[in-house]
Amino acid sequence: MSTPPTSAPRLARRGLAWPRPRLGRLRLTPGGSIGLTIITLIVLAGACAPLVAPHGPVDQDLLRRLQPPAWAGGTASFPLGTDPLGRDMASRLLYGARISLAIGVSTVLIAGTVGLVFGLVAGYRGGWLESLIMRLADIQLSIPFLIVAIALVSVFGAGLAKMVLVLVLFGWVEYCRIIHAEVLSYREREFVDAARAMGCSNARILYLHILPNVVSSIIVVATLQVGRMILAEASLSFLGLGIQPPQPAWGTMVADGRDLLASAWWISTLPGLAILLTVLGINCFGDWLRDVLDPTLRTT
Amino acid sequence: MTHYVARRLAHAILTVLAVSLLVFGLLQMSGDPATAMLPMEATAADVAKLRADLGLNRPIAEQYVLFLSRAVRGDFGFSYRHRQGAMSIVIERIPATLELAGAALAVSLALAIPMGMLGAWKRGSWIDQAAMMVAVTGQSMPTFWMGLMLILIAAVTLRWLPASGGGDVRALILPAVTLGANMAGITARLLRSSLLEVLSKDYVRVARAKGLVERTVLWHHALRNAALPVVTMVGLQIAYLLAGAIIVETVFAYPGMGLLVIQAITAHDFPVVQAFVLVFTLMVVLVNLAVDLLYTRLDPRIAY
Repeated sequence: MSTPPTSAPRLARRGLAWPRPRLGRLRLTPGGSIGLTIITLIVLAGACAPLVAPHGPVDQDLLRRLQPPAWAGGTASFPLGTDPLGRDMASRLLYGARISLAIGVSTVLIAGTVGLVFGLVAGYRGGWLESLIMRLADIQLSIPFLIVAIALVSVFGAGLAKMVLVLVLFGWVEYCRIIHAEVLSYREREFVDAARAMGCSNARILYLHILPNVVSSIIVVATLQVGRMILAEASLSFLGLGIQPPQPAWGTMVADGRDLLASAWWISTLPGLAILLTVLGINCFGDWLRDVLDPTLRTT
Repeated sequence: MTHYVARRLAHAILTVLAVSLLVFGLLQMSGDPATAMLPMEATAADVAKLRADLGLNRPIAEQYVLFLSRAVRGDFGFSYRHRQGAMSIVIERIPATLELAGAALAVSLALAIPMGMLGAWKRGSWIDQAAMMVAVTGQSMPTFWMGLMLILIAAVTLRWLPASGGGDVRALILPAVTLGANMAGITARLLRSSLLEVLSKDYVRVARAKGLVERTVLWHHALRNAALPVVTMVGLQIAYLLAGAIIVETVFAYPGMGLLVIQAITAHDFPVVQAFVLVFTLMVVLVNLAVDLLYTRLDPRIAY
């Protein structure tokens, strides 16, 4: 690239800054507000867990094992009952919110960044790099993530880092494909040509001219993906391939109560309900966000 | 068309190769198999001899080719646990998993088609909203938890159906409902939006203008065209259905491939896991290939 004329960057900055979100246009629908309420509650529960939890998440009290919830004949000191090791269900559920949210959000952030970079590069650069990245994405899409998780865990054992790796490995494709397609359509538009004629560098064109146009799709995909990541984490933990005991992950907690369904229903039921509510909240909110930000994405 | 088939075929082979490379790479990283297979008191000479016998002292590329040629013949070694060829153990379990996946697909369509049609027909009504709420909830529910809740209700409390096992049609019901209901939500939402799009087309207006009753319009004119994207998606979902079967089989102790592999992981039975991963990938790839090829048949407007 040749040196740009001195006035070009200033001009571009004044005329083409990132758009400010116009919040006045956002009207919450019933679905959107239900979703937002649930998400707020779960985030608060996770954030305030150390303050409001009556007991520690891994504190055992074998004398008080398998106590039913307070409304089903239990005591007020264990409002949601206890598990087979006498740990307080309510406290574990509160701390479990931290694990689910942390994994959901962090995997989406990492996968989103990787997918964004790959998608931008593939769409903007083209050539063999594009073919390589997009073929890789195709292959990834045709292998269910559970299979890679199984292969990985069978060799290295289960653990947090490996699970995040598996989830990221399967999350990035979605961003990469969407961004690739959008960049392809923007690459040849006049405003990009104009920017190039003014002497903008490729990085500048990508950051200031193309990225603002794809950012709403990214936000929508990312929001909906947080829910799917939480479900995937819970499934892996339930199968024993994810978060290991005694960590209070919701999926692991459901597995703890599997064999006690007939005698102590609350151990499996309550953490599952927590997962359902969280993911439902995220899905309702994500659907609303999609309708507001990017109606073209609506396929289902 | 030939070009398209060739490209899809190449992609399928590439996918299987990628997975075989993954399995082989993991095997390499898992440590020296020779040391793992010999007893603690084995001498260095014993280890060296076994390494030579296994071909472990050859260059890595040659080892990969050896691994591939064995894999093609279905030779993954013996299961540590069952004292039987790992491949034959996995193959024995395929019919049970396919049965579950087939039954689940039937359940999912039986739920999704009425839900999607009702939603599109009575658009915006409470039926539509309720159907879509059910669909979103189904999508948000963890499969394994739904399975446990069905056991709690239908097996433990009401004592209608067995909670686990296989071989019997009654034992298939709960796993199939769990797996099928999970997918029904997505299918219903897609069918609804697809129907809504078709219902706004001119030929539907013509059909209505002719004075046809709404039921005929919906069944004969709209449904057939709206079904196309749904059929494609259902086809692609079969891969996810098979993956979901792994979880559902574990919940219900249903004797399919999924239960086998989860038990194999716990027992560090690596040959079985290897054989499973490759067989499963092959199944998924074949299903995807079949769907791709079928799609061109279903929609004569599409030509490759």
